[in-house]
Amino acid sequence: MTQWLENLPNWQPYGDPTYFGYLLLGLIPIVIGLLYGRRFQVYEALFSFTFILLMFSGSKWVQFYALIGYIVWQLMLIFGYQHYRKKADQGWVFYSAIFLSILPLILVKIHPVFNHGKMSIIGFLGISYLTFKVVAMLMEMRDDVLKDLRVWPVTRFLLFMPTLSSGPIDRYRRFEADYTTAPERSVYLDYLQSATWNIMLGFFYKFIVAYYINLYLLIPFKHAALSQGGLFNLPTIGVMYAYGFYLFFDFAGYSLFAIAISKFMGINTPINFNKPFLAKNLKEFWNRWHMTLSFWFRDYVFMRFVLMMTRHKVFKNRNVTAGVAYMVNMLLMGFWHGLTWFYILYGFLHALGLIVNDWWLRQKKQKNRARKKAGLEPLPSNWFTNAVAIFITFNFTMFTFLVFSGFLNQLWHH
Amino acid sequence: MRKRLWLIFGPVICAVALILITILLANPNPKSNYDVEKKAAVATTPQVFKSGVLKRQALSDSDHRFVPFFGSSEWKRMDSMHPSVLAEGYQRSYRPFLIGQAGATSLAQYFGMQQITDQLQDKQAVFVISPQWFVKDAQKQKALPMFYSKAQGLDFLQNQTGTDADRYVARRFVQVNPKDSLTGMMTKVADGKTLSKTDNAKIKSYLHVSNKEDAFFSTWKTADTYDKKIAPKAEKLPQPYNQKVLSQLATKTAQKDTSNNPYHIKNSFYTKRIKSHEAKLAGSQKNFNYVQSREYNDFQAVLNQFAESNTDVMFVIPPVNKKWAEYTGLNEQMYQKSVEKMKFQLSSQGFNQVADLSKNGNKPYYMEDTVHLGWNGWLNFDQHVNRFLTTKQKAPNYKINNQFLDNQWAMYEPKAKDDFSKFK
Repeated sequence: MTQWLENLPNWQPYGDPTYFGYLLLGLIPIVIGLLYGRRFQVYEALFSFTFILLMFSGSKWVQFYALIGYIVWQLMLIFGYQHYRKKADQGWVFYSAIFLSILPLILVKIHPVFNHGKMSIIGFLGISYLTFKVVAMLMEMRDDVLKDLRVWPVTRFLLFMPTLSSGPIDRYRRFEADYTTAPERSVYLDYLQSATWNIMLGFFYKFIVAYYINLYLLIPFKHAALSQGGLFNLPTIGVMYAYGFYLFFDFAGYSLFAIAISKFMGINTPINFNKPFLAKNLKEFWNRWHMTLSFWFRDYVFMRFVLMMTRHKVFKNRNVTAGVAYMVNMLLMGFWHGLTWFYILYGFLHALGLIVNDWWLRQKKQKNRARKKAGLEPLPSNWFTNAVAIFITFNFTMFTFLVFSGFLNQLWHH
Repeated sequence: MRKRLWLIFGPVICAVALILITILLANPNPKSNYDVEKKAAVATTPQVFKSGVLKRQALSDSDHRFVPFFGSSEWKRMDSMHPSVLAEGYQRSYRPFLIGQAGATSLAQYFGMQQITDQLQDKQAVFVISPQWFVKDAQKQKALPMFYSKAQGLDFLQNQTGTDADRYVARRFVQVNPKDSLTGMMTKVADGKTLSKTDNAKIKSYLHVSNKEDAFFSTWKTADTYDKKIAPKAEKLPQPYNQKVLSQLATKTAQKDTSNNPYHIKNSFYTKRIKSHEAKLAGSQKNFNYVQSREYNDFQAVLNQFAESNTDVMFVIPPVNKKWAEYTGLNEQMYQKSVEKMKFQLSSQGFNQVADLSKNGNKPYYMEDTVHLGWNGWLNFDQHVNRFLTTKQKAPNYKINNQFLDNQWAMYEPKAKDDFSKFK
């Protein structure tokens, strides 16, 4: 088995035009079926299995076993917890289940820190995105909104090929509803139209814009910055903007592919980016940037943390509660990216930014209330103030991306 | 439904068809066109380096003799005594076709040569070795992707016959590009296995398409270096050719162009690359070492190729700017040791055309900046190369020694006055 796996070619998802060629060829029967309102479940399973297999074949064969082991582990947890949840609902059992489901990810994140950056053998491409899906399911099972789960639907949700490696992060109930009913023809034709457009736009983003930004801006700026050295220099500012845009076009392009292929398969996977650099404040930014991730954190970390703290009356002031929740939320996101100072600082900066942003909005509200009482016009809000707001938000996020990129680490320690 | 589907997919299908037709109609063996060729010859861009079509077009032009000049960043030092300027200005019987820029080390050159093996066969060439390539972590080859194109890898797979050098190169390829689409076939070659029939068919069809692509895009690949940097300078050269006059002119120009620093480095280079962190560079090269490096093995692969193609090559070993070397603490003894090692590797295998300029780093205005020839250095270079290319040379007789592909040679530290008897 291992040898066979090792000898297969390896195809990274959405890596090159050839990949799309094979992918679209494989999709044809699914598309024809859906046009006639039929979903060929067995064929879809085979199709997904083949492309997942090829993601982890060749020199990456270890990851294939890691994936299988991981899925078995999570299925045991989900169904073990479901079995338990029918009878009881104790907090510690729930927390243990959550802990056990994150455990593989924690090990994968910690392993390189103590092993000279070497990856853990239980890791595989997409592990964190799968963990998000499982944790959300466990939480909704405790809320009693998810029940009577069966193995096959859960497996196909977890292993949904188009979004397996890097999202967007879908929710079980939404996905299952899409999957069990084939979309109506007119709706499905809309899907096909938007999918075709998204693939073309994704090509433009990832293979043209991101590629050229990297080649003609990012690499030369990095080169210049490194050769000048020092704590900070002018080319590093170039690296900052170039990297921010590179990250956006690369990842947004990737997300467009994943969404498009989902739609070909009749699944309306949620969007991930919505013009993030036009956000007027940091809160809005997170409603536009890597949306499925930030919504996941909002729903399953932030809201739950706020709720818990309010219920236990930890802080009197609800603004303090929100601030602490921001900090926990964003630091956790930082840790999730990896255990390095720059990821954690990235989370910290965003938490700080969100707290300041909240404070500012509160101040503005108060001022405007006071002005209204005094019969004055509210503070000006026009194209100019909007432009300033966009400018500040944009530059702040660009700076945090510079931190995130890890380039400063390279600049200071190379 | 059908109309809607056509509206959705029709434009994409038409676009794909149009692209395929346009590319497949391109001619990968264009007729000679001196205008295109002379521009490609001095463009010194990665695009030209990667384009088999452009290189073959120029090097097989029967009316104009283009000679491949392999090298790296020095080709960009296009001052008034640059070999391309001199060849143009004095209407020599040859024109340099410059192959390589910063980062084009032996491995990159080797893969680039795979596209022009027919054009190298029994011809002459010039190869500038940069000792700066021979650093310890040469195996990282960070710049290779800049110069590598899939067509080169395919040409290599087609050319290879399973010799030690072929296996060595394939092994290096897998190390440097573990994720490449050709890694599978390269691994087979590295392991000494023969490629299957399907492999060979795959290589052939890939190569067919990528040559078409290359032909289509090569039309836009040349830069305007010729019109901007070569032709105007060639026009200004004093006629007729006179070494003394040229040397005086070189010194005069150089004096003017190196006025803002004590190292005789070109002003613009000094301002852009050194001035802001000059103090930090003092002593910064004390621990540089070019004696032990994987590059010696990669270089051997290049020599194997020249021997296989029976190419008569002149090797040029440039010096470093002495004043700069002293400031940065570069060890001259180490430098000379590495030069000795290279020269032994050359001479012991019958590569006897070597212009060793490595001891000239102190001559006035010999270097344009830190490690690159300029003005008087170019003139000196030109004397060697011109003589080599325009007078009759003895046919080369190479005796390849595959010991030079071993790690033992790469890591060999020559003693003072070493006779390298271990490697004879």
